[in-house]
Amino acid sequence: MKKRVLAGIMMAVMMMASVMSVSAAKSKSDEVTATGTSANTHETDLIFDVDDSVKKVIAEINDGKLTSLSADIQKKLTGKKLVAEVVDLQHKDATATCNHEVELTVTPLTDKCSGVVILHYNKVAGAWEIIEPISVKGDVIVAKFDNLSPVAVFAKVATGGSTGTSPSTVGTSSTWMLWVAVAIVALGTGVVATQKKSR
Amino acid sequence: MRRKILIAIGIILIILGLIFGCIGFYKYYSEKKAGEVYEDLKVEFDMAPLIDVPQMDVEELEIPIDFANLKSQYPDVYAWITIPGTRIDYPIVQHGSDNGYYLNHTVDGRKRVEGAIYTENYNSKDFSDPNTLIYGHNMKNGSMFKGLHKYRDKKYMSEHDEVIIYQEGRILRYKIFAAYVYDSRHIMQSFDFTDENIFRSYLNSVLTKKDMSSNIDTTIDITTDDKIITLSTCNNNDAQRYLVQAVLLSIQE
Repeated sequence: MKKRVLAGIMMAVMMMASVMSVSAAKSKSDEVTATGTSANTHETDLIFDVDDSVKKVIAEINDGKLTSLSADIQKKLTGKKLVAEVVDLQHKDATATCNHEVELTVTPLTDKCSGVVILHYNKVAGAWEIIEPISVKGDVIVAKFDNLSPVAVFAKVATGGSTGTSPSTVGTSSTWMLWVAVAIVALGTGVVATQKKSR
Repeated sequence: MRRKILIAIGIILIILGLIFGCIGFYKYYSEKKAGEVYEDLKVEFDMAPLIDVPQMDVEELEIPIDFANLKSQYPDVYAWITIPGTRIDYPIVQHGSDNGYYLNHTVDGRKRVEGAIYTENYNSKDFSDPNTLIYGHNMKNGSMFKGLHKYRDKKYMSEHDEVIIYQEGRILRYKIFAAYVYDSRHIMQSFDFTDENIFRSYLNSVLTKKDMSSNIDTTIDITTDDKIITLSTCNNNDAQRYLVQAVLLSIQE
C-alpha cells in the first residue's frame, strides 16, 4: 500500500515538473486562416492528415530545419524565413471538388516581408513543392492548390528577432515558488520512504 | 525486496527534490539579481546617480557618461537613457546583425533573463527617425523597464515626464506625452513612419485614446515634424505591451 502511494506521488511529481516546463514553453497559435469567400469553404487546422514521415518533416520545418526537403526547394527558400508555421489546409466538405483558389490571411505578414512563397505538401505527388501566390496584399495571400494539404508560408523579412510581433519583454514568470514546492514534496516523500520501519 | 524498492523510490524522489530545489533557487536568484550588471557598470565607469539633471547652457555641455571607455568595452552601446527620479538609467544598445540578441543578453554579452535596453536595426542610432522604439524587460524586481508601469498613474506621469538620452557629444531631452496598453504587433514592421500620412494617422490614434488604462497629455502639440521615442515593455502577458512615448524637445550639442 505504502509502495503504491509513493509510486503515485512520484508520478505526480514527474507530471507537475513536465506541466511546469510545458507551461513555460511558448504557446503556438494558428497564424494562417482561410478568409474572404474562402472562409465559407476552407479551413486550416493544426492536426495533420498525413503519414508520420510527413509529420516528421513538418516538425523539422517548424523548427527551422529544411534538410529533409529537396535541394531544389532548399535553394528556392534560401534567404527566406518561415513566417507562419505549417497548417493543414482543408475543404470544409471533404467530398467537394472545386477550384482550390484559396484566400488566406497570414497574420505575421507585414509590408516588411517580401518574396512570399508557400511551401505545400502535394498529397497526390507525395512531395513538397513551392507555390507562388497569385497575389499578396498586406497579410492576405491568394494561391491556387491542386490538392489541399499542409502549407507553410516563407518570406524574406527585415533582419530581426521578431516577425510581426513586438519583442517579448515579459521578464520572469516567477515559477521559482512552484519548483521549491515540488522539491519539498519530493524530498519529504523520499525521506519518509527511506525511513527504517520501527519495530 | 519490497523494502529495497521502497528505498530506491525514496532515493529517486530525494534526488529529484534536490534537483528541483536547485532549479527553484536558481530562478529565485536570477529574479532577485536581475539588472545588477548595470549597477556594476555605473560603479565601474564612476557614474553618479542621475537623479536631478539640470538644464545646461550650451557652453556647458557636460555628458556624465564616459562613452569612450564604455564603447571600448561594449561596442554596441551607443546611447544612455535616464528618466530623472526613477530607476530607469541604462545604456542603450543595438546589435549589428541580430535584433533579438539583447532580449536575453546583457551589455557584457552574458545570457541573462533581463537582457538590455535596446533598439532594433529598424531604427537609426541617432534618434532621427520619426519614431524610435526602445525595448526593455518588465522585471519583477523593478529593474529594466518595470518602472514604465508607474506611468499608469497620472500624477506620477506629470512628476516624471522628462526623458534624457545622452550620446557622445549631445544630449536629447524628451517630454512624455502618452502611456498606454497596446497590442503585441511589431510597430516598426506595421507602420511606415517615413510616410507623413501614416505617421499623422498613427499620432492621431495615440492622442485620441480615451480608455481607462491610458494617460495621454493632450496639451502638447505634436506634429509629423516631431521626433518621438516609444519605450516598450510587456504588460504582464505576451499578447500586450505597455508603451510610454515621449516627444523630442531639444538637442544640445
